[in-house]
Amino acid sequence: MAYWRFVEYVTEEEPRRCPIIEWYGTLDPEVQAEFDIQVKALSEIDNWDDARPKYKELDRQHAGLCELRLKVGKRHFRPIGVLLREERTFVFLGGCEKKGRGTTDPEQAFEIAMNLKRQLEAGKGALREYAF
Amino acid sequence: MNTLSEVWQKFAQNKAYRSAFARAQFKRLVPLQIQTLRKKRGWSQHELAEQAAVTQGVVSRAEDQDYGNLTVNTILKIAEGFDVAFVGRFVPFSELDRWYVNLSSRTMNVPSFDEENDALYEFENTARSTAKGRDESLIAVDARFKNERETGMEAALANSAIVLSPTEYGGGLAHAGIGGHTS
Repeated sequence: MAYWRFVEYVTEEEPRRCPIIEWYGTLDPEVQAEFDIQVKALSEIDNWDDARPKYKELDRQHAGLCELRLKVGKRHFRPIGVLLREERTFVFLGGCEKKGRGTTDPEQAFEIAMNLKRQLEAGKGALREYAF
Repeated sequence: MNTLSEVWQKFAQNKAYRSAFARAQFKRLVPLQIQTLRKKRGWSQHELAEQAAVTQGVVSRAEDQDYGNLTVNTILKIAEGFDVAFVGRFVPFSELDRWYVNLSSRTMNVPSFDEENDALYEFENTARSTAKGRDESLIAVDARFKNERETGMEAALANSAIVLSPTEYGGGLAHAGIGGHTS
């Protein structure tokens, strides 16, 4: 059994959407493979202090979010979610590729994730096991 | 019922994926195992470097999953430092799939030769007195290390919640400063 569990957020409104799966589907196969391996690796690290800098808990306007840090070649990808340390669980809310000057692809990825986090706070939507 | 693993289904969809997966597992999981083994032994990077006759910088890079330029020669030196074997060989994807699915801290955390040898002799002596065979001793040694690994895992998980449904996340969300579910 892994030390950490990864789950994905599914929106409440119809048609129900799973942002992390949608984003994953846009990635090149090479990035998908790197993503899968990194998530598996993180799930097997007991103390996430040892996992830095593979993740970062965000602050200021994105406080409460946590990004995983995935580097593939020279490209930087950021799966975004909420880290529940007590439950040893990471909730995926979406993802993006970091571009220059604070921009992301897709645009506003962190703001979108913040909105999903608020929906989660309000009890809307659902969570399910992330299969990797 | 679908008996194929998620990762196998991805292998089957796309050669680019499975090729990248094979590269990524080597690039990321060998560093992870080096770090796991070092921490299990309570060694600093400097101590491992001394054992492996490399510099601390080499160990630091060897534990960096993004480094991506780890040489087999360095891995073999580090294996020697841990007194374990590193087995690099060609395998079919089915073996990679099985290995990945079963991958855990338990399978990554392997004993040194001396640890195994001491345990083996201990069980050999017991086996001689009880007329058990060598195979039974080896099985017993393997079971002993397996139990130790699992005990460590159980202790680590003792305070962690098993979260299965959305509503059960309420407590965790509260811990994280997020309101509980009401739906």
